[in-house]
Amino acid sequence: MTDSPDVLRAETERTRVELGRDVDALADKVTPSKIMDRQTTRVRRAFASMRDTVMGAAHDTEQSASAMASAAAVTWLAGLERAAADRRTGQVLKAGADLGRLLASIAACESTHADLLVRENV
Amino acid sequence: MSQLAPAARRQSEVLQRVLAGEHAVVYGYGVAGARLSGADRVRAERAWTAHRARRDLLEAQLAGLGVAPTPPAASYALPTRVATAEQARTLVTLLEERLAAVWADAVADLADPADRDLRREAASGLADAAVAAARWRGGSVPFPGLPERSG
Repeated sequence: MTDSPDVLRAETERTRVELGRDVDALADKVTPSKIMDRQTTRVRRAFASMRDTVMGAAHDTEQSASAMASAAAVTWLAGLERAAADRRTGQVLKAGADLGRLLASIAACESTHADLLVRENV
Repeated sequence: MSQLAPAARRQSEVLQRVLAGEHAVVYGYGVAGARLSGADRVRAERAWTAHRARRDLLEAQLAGLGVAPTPPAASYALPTRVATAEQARTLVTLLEERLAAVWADAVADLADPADRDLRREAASGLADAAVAAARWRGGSVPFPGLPERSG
């Protein structure tokens, strides 16, 4: 509590810069279309290897099973985005003015992702 | 207004700014709705109703603080031409983006522990506007409500 406003301001600015960097790095990971690509690839690979070993080749089965798994993945991801937004709002309430504004924006972005994931895939 | 406690004064100033934004957005949806049809028209009407509800809530909160809510302007200078459905969608996207920025600034201005409930409401107002903008736009932006980071 002995920190001067200047020290606090510098600290906030530093946090913002660091957070901005982290967020930039995360942006690639949390872009819905990229998540979907990764999930779909992973699910496809899993189903492909399962098919090869226990079921034999059947393209129809692969496609419908993969589509069902993708729908489940989307629901799951949308839930994760929503949970992240809720958690972030908790952080907003504890943060100072500028950091709170930034965190609220990130929470809003996460809400947007959850919304787009659900709307684009139902 | 001089008899207001500092917290109430700060809160009422923030609420008035957001209220002015909601007034403008309600007006804008009215203009845009006339140019939209089908599903977009329905969506615009729902958004119009939601923004009116938010406006009514803000007015009630201001009244609760003992402050007269700022009235809407008689008309607003539209930032874009609205002669076609596409221009109408552009307008409401822009309005939701600007409203998101107003809510984001409210989050910054409500940093006192006494502002906790209002700050939560501001964060949710920001999220609602960001989601609405993303739906009209058809995609998300990294930092909704932060125009300085949208470069």
